[in-house]
Amino acid sequence: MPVEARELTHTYNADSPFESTALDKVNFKIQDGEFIGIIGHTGSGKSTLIQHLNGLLKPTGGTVIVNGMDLADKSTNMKEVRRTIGLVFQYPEYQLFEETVEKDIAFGPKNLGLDEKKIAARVRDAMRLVDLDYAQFANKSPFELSGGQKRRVAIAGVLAMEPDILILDEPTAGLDPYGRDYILSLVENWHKLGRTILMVSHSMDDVARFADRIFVMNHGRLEMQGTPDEVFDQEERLRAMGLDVPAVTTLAGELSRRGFDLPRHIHTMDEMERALLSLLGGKEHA
Amino acid sequence: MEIIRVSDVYYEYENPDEPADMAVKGVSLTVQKGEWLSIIGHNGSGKSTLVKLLNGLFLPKSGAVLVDNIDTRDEQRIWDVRQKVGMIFQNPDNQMVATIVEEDVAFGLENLGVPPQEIQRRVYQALKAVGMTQYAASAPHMLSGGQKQRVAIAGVLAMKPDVILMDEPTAMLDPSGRREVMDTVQRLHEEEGMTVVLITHFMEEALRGDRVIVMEKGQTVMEGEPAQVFSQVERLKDIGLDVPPMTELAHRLRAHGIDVHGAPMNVEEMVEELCRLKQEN
Repeated sequence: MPVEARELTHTYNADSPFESTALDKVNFKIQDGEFIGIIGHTGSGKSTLIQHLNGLLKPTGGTVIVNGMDLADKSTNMKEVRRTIGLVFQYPEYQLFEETVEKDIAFGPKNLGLDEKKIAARVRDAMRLVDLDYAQFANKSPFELSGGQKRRVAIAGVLAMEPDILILDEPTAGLDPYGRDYILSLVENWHKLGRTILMVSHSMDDVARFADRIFVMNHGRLEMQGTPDEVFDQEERLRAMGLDVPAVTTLAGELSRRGFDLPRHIHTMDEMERALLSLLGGKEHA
Repeated sequence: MEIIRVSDVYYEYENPDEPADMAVKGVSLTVQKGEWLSIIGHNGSGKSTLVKLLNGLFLPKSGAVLVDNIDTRDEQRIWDVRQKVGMIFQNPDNQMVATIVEEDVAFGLENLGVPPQEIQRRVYQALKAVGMTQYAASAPHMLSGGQKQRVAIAGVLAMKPDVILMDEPTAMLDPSGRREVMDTVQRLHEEEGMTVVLITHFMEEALRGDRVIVMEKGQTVMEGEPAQVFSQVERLKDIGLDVPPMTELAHRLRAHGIDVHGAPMNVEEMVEELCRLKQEN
C-alpha cells in the first residue's frame, strides 16, 4: 500500500487576511513496511500533513495517492481510505467515550460493517496487541483506567481496524518513561508484522532508534528527507530549524573536533558505546 | 531558612476508584528558601498527590505540612498558604482565564482587591520577569505553548509568592517550548532567588536544580544533589525511570571496565572525561 504525496499544498483561510500556507508543495513516496519518523517544530505542518493522509483534510493543491486512491478526488471511497490508514491522534485517550473498554475498541470495526463474531475477534486481538488482559479490562469503564492504560485502549481501537498503514501523532507525549517505552515497543511490534508506520515525534532519540527514513518539516515544506544518518549528519541545518539532534550525535561532533577518530554517523547510544569501546579498549563482556 | 516542612505525611484517596498506589505514605521533606528542588517518579508514584499537599489543595490524613510555619490545615490561613505557594499546572490552556495576556496576569490580583495602579506595576514586572512584555496586549490563544506557560508563570509571580510549585509544566510542550520555559525558571531562580519545586518526567530538567527527590510507591526513596542521584543508574532503572543520556553512556562504559570518573551529566563534562581517558590510554 504505497503512499505518495504530489505537490501537496494546503492553505488555511485562503483569500482572507488570515491566509496561511500550512503545506507547501510537499512530495514524497512511502513504500510498504517503511517506518517513517516525522519531525519539525510546532507549527511546521506535521499535523496538517498527517490529517491529509487519511482524508480528514482535503488538499487545496496537489494530491495524496494511497494505494492508487486519489484523496483529492471527491469520488474516492473514504471508508476504504480510513480502513487502509489508521490515525492515532495526540492524546487519543481524550476521545474515549463508550461505557466499556470492549465497546470502545469495537466502535471502529462495527462501522466497517463486520459481523458480531468478527468484531469480537478483532477486539480480543487488539487488546492482546496492547497487552490489556481481556478478562480484566473488557467490561471496565475506560474512565476507571490510568492514563497509560487509557492510551492503550485508544490505540487498540485503531489497531482493531487492522490498518495497513498506521500513523501516530506524538504517541508518547505526556507519558512517563515506563509508559513511553511501553508504547514504543508496541509500535515496534506492529511494524515487525510488516506494517507501514508514520510516527510524529519530538524525541530525536526515538526517531534515530526506530525510523528507516525521517521527514523534516519546516514552515510547511518538507525540508529534508533521508535516513537517520543522512538527516542527523546535518546538525547545523537542523539547529537552524529549531530542532535538536540526539545527545550522542552532539557528543560525537565534539569528540571529533577534539581529535577522536570516530566512525561517521553515530546517532544511537548503542553506536556510541561500540565506537568508544573500540577506541578505549573496553572489555567486551564485563 | 526553611519555607516548607513536610512531616511524616500520609494521604490516601477515599474514592475507591482512585488507584491506591497514588497515595502518599509517610513522606518527610523540607524546602529551603532560594532552593530548587526537583521531584521525579513515574506515574502513580504519589508525586502529584504530594504537590497538592504542598499548597493545601489536599490536607494530610496524618502528619503535617507547614508553609512558612503555617499549617495547611489551618482553615483561617489557607489563602495565605495559597498566596505563598504559587502553582503551575501541566496544560497551559486550562490556566488561561482572560482574553488578553495582561488581564490574565492581573486576574489573581484583581480578586484580592489590589489597587489598580499597584496591579499595573506588578503585571508589568511579572511579564518582564518572564520576557513577555511585548505580548501584554496579545490574545492568549495566539501564543505558543511555551509562551502560554510563561504567561501562567507571570500570573503566579504577580502574586509575589515565596515558592513556585510546578507539576510537569513542560509535559505538553515541544522541545523548544520546553527549553524556553525551563530557561525562564532557571533565570528566576538564579537572578531573583525564587524558590522552585518542580515535578517532572524530564531528567534533563531535574539536572538544573539543586536537589532531587525520587518518589516511588508513595515514599521518597532517593534524595541528593543531581549528580549523586543520577549516578545510581541501576537503581533508577529498577524504579522505571530514565537517566540523562551522558550518565547512561558513562554507566555502559563502566560496565565494560572503562574507569569513567565522577558522574558526567552533560556533553561538555563527558567530552572532558573522555579526553582524560584517551590520554591515559
